[in-house]
Amino acid sequence: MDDAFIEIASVSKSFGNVTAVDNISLSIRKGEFFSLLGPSGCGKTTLLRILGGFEAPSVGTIMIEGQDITHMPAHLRPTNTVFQNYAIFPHLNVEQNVAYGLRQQKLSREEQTEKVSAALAMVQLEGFDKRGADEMSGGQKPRVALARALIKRPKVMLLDEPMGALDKKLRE
Amino acid sequence: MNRNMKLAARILGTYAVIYVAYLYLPVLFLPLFSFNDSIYISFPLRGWTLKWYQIMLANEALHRALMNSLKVGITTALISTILGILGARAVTRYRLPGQKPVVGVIMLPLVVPEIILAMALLILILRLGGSLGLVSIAAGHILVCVPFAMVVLMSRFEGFDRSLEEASHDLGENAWWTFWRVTFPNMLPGIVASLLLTFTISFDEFIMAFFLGSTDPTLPVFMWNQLRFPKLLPGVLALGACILIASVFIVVLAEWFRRRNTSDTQTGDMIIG
Repeated sequence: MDDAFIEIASVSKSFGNVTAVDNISLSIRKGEFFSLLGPSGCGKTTLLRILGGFEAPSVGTIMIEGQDITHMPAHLRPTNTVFQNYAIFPHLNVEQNVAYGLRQQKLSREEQTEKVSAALAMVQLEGFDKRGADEMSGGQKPRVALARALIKRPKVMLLDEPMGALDKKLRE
Repeated sequence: MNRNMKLAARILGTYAVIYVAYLYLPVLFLPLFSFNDSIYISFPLRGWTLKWYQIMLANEALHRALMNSLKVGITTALISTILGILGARAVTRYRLPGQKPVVGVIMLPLVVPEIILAMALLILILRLGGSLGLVSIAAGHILVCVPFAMVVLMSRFEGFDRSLEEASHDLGENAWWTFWRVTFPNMLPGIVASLLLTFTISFDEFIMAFFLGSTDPTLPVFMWNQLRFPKLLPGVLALGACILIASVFIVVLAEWFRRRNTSDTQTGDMIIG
């Protein structure tokens, strides 16, 4: 495919004797909303982790916008992930969690607050900025995780079982 | 049946009271007699005085011993906690070949009689031509304290979610920044608890300090020397009362730090030997 934005080329990943991902090749266009469906343990999470840079594929290559990122470390990739367990930083409040990825942009305090407010508004959590990580409800955690990833304006958003804890109204 | 149970409850209750009394009453006599206006430890008390505390404060040798103990204690706390961090992180994060035996060996000083360790170290140090003093005492204390640091820190590391570090990488931070922004703040209560605990262990340790020390004693050895002279006894009691209060304070502080934010990571209570 010529207009492929993400190109996964014959990627396999095995842990010891277990093959988690077996020779996957697929292309995803820009702006495409792509879902991986399958039974538990079929390798969805592993493929997402390979895309996010948390696992290296045993075989195969990953390209984003024509650039080979197979061996690029996670912190340099243009991807952001919402983890299955959301991985909210327990020692930070909502605002600090959402602003975590902004450090390198060296924004002024106002700019940062503005961005955080916008991100929180996007997930309908306005006014929750000072809430502690342990005071969030099950439905707020995924939204904080989403805002924290969105604020980085990633080229690729990776969501691992993102809808598990959201009620139907919010999903839409 | 009912009467038997009542009887059992009464016996158990009495046992508990005697046990607690036996545990704490002697300790409480220490501060009590430190205010007694007599060099003899006996009832009735002769009158209240603060002179033993004054004598204690004026004692230069005691100051020196206290400084020695602080130096050894702080060095021991820092080094054994750093070694504990590295060890606990390796053990909880990676699967290493021969991990269980290695951890067993690290924990061994908890069960090996200290006097054996002290004698072995003494022979080793003299054989190697090393000299005895605060450095050799600290070396011995570190050996004993590392297992304690490991126990405290391992429970902390085990409760630490690996995906938090991944989330930090995902949000653009490299390993260095991830450590300082995520790992370290989450480890901090464990690190502080480990520092306080190892310091306390080193501070009141006697056998190592006695075997591996020179004529320049640490506080426990200094106190033991004083005990041989009846006249000096009340001064030692005053000192003991001060150390008692400081130790209780430090241990409570350490436990408080260790338990903070660990409600989601239930770990067994630690036994302080």
